[in-house]
Amino acid sequence: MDRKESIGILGVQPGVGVTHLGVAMMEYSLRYRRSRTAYVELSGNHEIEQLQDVAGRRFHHAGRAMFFPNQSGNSPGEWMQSECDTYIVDAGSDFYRSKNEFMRCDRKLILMSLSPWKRQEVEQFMTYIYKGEKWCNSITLLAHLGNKEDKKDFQKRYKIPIYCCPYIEDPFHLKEADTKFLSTLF
Amino acid sequence: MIKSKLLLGKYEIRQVLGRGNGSVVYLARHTKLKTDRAIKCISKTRSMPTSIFSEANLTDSLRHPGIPIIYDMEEDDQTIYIVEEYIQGESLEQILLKQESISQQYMVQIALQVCDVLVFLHNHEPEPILYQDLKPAHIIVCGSQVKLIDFGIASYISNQGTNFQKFGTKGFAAPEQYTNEALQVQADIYALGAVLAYFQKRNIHSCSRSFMHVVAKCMRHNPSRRYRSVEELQYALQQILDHGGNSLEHLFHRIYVVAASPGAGATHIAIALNSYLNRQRNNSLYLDASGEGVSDGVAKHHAAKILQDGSVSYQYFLGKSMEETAAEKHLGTWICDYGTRLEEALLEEGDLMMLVVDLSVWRQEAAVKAYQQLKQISNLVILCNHGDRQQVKWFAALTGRKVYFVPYEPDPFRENKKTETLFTQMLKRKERI
Repeated sequence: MDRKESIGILGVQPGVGVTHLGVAMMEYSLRYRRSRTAYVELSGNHEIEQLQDVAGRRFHHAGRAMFFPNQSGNSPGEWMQSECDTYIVDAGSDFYRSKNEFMRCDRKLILMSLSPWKRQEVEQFMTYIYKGEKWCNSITLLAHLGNKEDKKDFQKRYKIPIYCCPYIEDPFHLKEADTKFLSTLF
Repeated sequence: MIKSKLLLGKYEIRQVLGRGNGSVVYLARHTKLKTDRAIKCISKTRSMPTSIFSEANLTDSLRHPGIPIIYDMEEDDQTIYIVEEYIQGESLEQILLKQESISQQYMVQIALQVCDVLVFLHNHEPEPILYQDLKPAHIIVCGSQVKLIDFGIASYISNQGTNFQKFGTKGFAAPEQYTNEALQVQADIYALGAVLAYFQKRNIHSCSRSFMHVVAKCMRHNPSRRYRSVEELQYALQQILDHGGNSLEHLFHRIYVVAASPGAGATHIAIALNSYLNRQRNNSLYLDASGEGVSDGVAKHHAAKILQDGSVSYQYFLGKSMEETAAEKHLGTWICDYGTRLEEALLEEGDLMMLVVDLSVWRQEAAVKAYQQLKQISNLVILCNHGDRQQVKWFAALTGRKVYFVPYEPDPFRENKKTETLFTQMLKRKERI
């Protein structure tokens, strides 16, 4: 890899699966792209510390992995100084907390649940955050849960494409379908 | 006592039906109408006239097939006479003593009729009435009709009298009848449970687990842990009658669902369980106690309907917010979704508590912490919504409990055979008494 790349993942709702997707992307980056990959956690929930403890046993090619827990508020320059080529930036679900670092990412993924009882959060996000910020073309909306009809409703309402994020059963042991999907995110 | 064979100038005494402390009950025939009556003759020197008149006045206003009619009341210097409907039948006490065995189904049918009377009393307008002295001797079986007799200590719920007037009968009276506590309908529920227990003791080998569960729930020491109303108890008994006491899933009237961490999937599973039970015609209701506006969110779906009572219906889902008190009228299983509010869920007394855990590596600490908070709950089941089977095995070994692995299903409203098999297995496995 010639240059560093950063991919930010932001969740619209807490518990929507940002870390799950981030871990899957890290595994893909380490194993299939053979990239030195860093996981940067902005949410401050310390979950990545638990991941760090077992990284050696769970990730393939864990030797190429680095972890930066609880980086919100720190200048990206600090973790970007590392020798990694790829940075998976876990922005959690608090946009305003992670905004600066998330918006600087080369690629921005926004993950949401389209389950009917989660709609209000989606509406609030799309009304106040999505429409209120200057996003460039590097943004991709991803949805999981909900059904095809929910996805159609969303696209009709907001006039932007949203892609289905398939269920990745085990982010440490990727299946063919998983890798196919993940390859589109890099 | 009375020697003449003619009472009150119009009733011819035929025989003595029974004797009590200071009272005699005669079978007598109206000389002109040729109808039989039971006449209770109570000595004024041995009983409190005010209490006798209270009983008579109370029951005089009640019209129900399960309550004897009071036709008249008279008194002279020494005696009070209450002329009542003559009930031809046997008391449940006599039946159980005489017969070698009666079936559980027969006993449940009797209990259902007693429930009918209690429902009538507890919903009496303008004021509910507590019976307070339910026991086998006061339940008369007249062919296919069951009647309650002796309303001696029955009272309006707001006017329960002095302590000694509400003692009831030892062995059947609720524990709170011996304290200064104001009584609620749960006192009568306890007593009915005691009557069922009386039957159970004599027929232990023929009682189903469902029946035993009902008895145990009626007789919980803490009134708030019993059935909340006689209607709820009635529903449980009807399920035993309809399903022969074999469908354990119908015993679970309150199922609480909590999540160890956000996104673990408590709401998802609660909705799936609610939909599953409604497909089984269980009449389940989803209650949103998570504070996340789940029912409101579902209500906004274009295919959802808002029913008259404010509940939301979508496919097989039926739900409402926990704050809406009208939920109390709903019979059938409640699925209460507490989200991540473990402390609040801990305060509840349900039939089943489901802890939904995410066993992803970065969520395991939260799963263990949640389990530690809930581990003292005996009717706890653990469901794993994320994680692999190895992690499930690890957690099962750590907790010493079975951990159910939930199959992936993105749409909880949709029928999913694997999920339904899991629910069927889970609800049948946990035998709650």
